[in-house]
Amino acid sequence: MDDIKESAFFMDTTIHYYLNPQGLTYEDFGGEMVAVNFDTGKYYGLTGSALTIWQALLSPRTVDELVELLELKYSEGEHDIREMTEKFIKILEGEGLLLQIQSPNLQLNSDEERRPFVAPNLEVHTDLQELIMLDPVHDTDPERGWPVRKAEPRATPDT
Amino acid sequence: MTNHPSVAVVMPVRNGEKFIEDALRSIQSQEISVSEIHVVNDGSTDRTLAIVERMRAADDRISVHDGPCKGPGPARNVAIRAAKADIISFLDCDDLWPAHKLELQIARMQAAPRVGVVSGFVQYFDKQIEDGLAPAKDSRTDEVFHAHLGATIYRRSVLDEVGLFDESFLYSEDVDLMLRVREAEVPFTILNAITLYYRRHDSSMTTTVTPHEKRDFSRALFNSMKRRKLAGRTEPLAAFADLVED
Repeated sequence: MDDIKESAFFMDTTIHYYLNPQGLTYEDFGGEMVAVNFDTGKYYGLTGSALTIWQALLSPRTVDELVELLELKYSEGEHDIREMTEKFIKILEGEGLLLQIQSPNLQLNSDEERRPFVAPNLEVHTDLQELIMLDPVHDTDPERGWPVRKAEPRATPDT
Repeated sequence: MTNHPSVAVVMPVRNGEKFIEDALRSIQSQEISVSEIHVVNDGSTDRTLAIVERMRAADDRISVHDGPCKGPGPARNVAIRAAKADIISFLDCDDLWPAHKLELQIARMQAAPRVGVVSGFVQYFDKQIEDGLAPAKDSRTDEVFHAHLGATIYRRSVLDEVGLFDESFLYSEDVDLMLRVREAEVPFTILNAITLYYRRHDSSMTTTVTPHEKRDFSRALFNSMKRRKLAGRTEPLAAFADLVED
């Protein structure tokens, strides 16, 4: 946690982040989200304020803009909004889920009643990686993925 | 193999006239004999029923059930409820079983009574030999592990434990079942052998995933994450690679 706080101090506040659409699909299930990256085979559970951040990242946002949005939407909870946002952006970046772009800042507003801030959380799951990379919901080209059947053992030639 | 547990086969079908006879013949051609073949006719409007009735007249192991016309999961549940056998297996009406499939998988279960689920690899194919029940030599084939039900056999007790197919799924009901099996830590092994020939149709090779398919797949994952959280389970499920036998 300390490492993240320290490195977050140097975060470039002019960078605009947005979701990398490559291979990504996501579904909202009543305030909790599942995202699947078909290119890496990982799937994710997003809880807390992660859903708000994720939806905001459909358009390019700076960290400042995200913090501003969250401060409009949430009152202070037990977590620091900026610290948690910076940490979460780093996690998303580390998972390859974000791209960066330079673009003008966007106006943010929220008419919703503010609720106490809940830290964004990203659960990372790799246990179906092989199947997801094969695309489990329809036929696809399985050449990219594992597991492939192991080769039959070959008889050792007589010497 | 003379003494082996009884095996039931579950086959849902809607308008499967083109390939269902071959699918049923590939069951009849197994090196060990199944005791029950449950075909669930889920609203066919083609010659499917006539073909199955003709084959049933010559093979009293075949029984035909009316499906609820709510998709393959609910149709399979009709057959599972009707089945009496110790082992439940699946085959879709356009796929084929290799002749040795059941012999290999039943032998594995008999050698390891704790093993509840035995799977294997899937060979995708797009051309069948003209006089037999296997991929043609010039067929484009790939051998992979996948969640296809037809590659896997289940002890009845496993389905009693984890439940039947969730009938709210139109797609990914097999992924949902597989996740429940793995969450329950049922001993599960993957043979290093082909246990299903899965037919790739021209249309299925180019089809893109529909929003409904994506949503059902995501829902299977979501439900699994929720169950694991409720159970306080923090460790990941085993990787498939760890389940493959040498």
